[in-house]
Amino acid sequence: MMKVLWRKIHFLLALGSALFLFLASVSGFILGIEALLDQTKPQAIDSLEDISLKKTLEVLNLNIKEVFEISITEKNYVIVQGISEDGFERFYVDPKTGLKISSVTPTSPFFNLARSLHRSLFFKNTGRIIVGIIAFLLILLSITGLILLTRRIGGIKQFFFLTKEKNIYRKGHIILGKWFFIPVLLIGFSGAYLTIDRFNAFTHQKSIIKTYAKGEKILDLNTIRLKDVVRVSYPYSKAEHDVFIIELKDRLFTVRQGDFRTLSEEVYPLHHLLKQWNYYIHTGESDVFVALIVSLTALALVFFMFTGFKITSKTSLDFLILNNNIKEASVVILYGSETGNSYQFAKRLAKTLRKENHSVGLTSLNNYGIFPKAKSILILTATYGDGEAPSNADLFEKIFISSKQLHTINFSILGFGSKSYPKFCQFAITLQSLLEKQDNFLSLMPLFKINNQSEIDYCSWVSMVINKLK
Amino acid sequence: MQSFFKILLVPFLLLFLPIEEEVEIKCLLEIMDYRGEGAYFVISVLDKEENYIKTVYVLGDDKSWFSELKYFWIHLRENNLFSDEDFYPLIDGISGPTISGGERRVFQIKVPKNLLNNSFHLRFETAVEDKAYYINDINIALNTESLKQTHIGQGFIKKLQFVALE
Repeated sequence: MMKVLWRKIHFLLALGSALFLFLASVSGFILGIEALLDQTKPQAIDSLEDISLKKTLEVLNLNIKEVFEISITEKNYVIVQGISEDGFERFYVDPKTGLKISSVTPTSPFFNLARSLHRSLFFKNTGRIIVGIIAFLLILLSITGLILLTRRIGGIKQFFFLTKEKNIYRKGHIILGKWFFIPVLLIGFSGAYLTIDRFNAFTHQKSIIKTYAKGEKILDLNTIRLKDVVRVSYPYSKAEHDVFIIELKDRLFTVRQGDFRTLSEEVYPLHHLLKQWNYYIHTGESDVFVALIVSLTALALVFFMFTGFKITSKTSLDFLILNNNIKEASVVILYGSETGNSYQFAKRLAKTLRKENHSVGLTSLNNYGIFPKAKSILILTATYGDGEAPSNADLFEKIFISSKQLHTINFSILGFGSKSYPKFCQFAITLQSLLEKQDNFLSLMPLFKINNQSEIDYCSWVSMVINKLK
Repeated sequence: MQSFFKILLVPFLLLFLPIEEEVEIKCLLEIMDYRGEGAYFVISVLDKEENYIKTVYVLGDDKSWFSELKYFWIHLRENNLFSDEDFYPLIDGISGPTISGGERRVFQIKVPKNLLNNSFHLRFETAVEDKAYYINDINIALNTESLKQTHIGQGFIKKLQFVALE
């Protein structure tokens, strides 16, 4: 019954994180769009790997009055803090020409709000912890989801084939699962990592600091590509103790002004790089392609939740409410329900039988398994389309063959349908002959069919069942 | 009531000066090596009674975090400057991003010349979420003498150095 277990875990995870996950997905989508928009701005430089730091320092020297600091953001913006023709300010520059593009303006309050919601739900550290847990649950959701998915479609190989599924919500859930399993896993992982990092889990890792003697090492700025640069702080004055500080993604140099002799080098620990990598993956700020993927994934999560709740709504909560010690039950009621009618009748039947002091278990046909204490099995099922199984009964025939009950079982099948269809109660008929073929299954009475949910017919079947069970 | 009157009076007087001459001061700020979020700063000119006269520079541009700078936030609230429409123009052109532990930053502030050497103060208020808030991380007399010195902060500021450009 591993499948039922996985399904329960998957469902409980989804239920527990639903509200927060929804907020995180919606805000995440907004931020993904922001990242996409930011990459279309003129200050987003797409060829940072082709430009050397030396070249940039030279052109800035020619064109900018005074530079205090150059910083290169995750969004591939090159920002100069210094004095332009408009006085002291922060402004974007083109690192190839050294010309000012525009002044830095504050981020829009709307996106700040979305960011704050996404990171902490406006609850500062408490919120950050919740969001971190949600990210962790997202990892578990994608893993349990993958397990369910491979079982549902019958193996990993089936991933690349079209899925036969009638129910549009199920189909949507499966297709999204195939496409977005990896992005969801990565977003969950990177989100959880960033939260853990935020709480300084890795501070025990220290940088390695090397100092160099005079003339030992000259930093060749030609070999440094702008894409590796985070920040260059210029010397404050011409005094010798004032130095260049050149911070790269993985290390930091202090360099003497004039001859660029390296004074010291600080090599950052591994977690520093991991954080950058996770930030890159999670935000998509540096790359249009990643931004597009994360935006779509955020949107997909909303659809996952929608389709997920659509397919679970009626029956999944039952194991929480009824439960339904199915392993202990002497009478097991199985239902196959497409629109929920058969399920409603099955619930009523369970209630009635409990009043008659039977220990009753209730579950869908797809959750069939070995019921160790069962003496009787009652099946209530509708038929879908052209004599096929309803969606929560489509795996029954396969499972039924593979799980043999421990002792003899009395069974009765109640078929629901409408005589206006040519294949009236066809699936119930299929089941009746399937069960009759088994040696240890004894039919309590012939297959009983109900046309258009006839109340009278149902009641007469129930009274017959009660008599037989006595 | 008297101090309230002064708050109104000083900017009022400033308005009537013929042309507001400004001194440009280049600052080098070095931050202590702490772990955590970026530090929010507000640098303001105060009078003797600790009334806010002028905001000269801020680090951090997301208004929602300015509430961590408690005294400055009270000043914004008392003077109805905290709505987006008032706040963002107030810091327009005098703001930079937050600064993190161990970093250094060079920036330039402008101070009206008539405030210099006139018993006003320059206050650096600093705050880091969940860490601390320092109302007077640095609080120095706004005069030519102290603008020549190097100052040590009480909280997140390790060192502050000036060059007056004029």
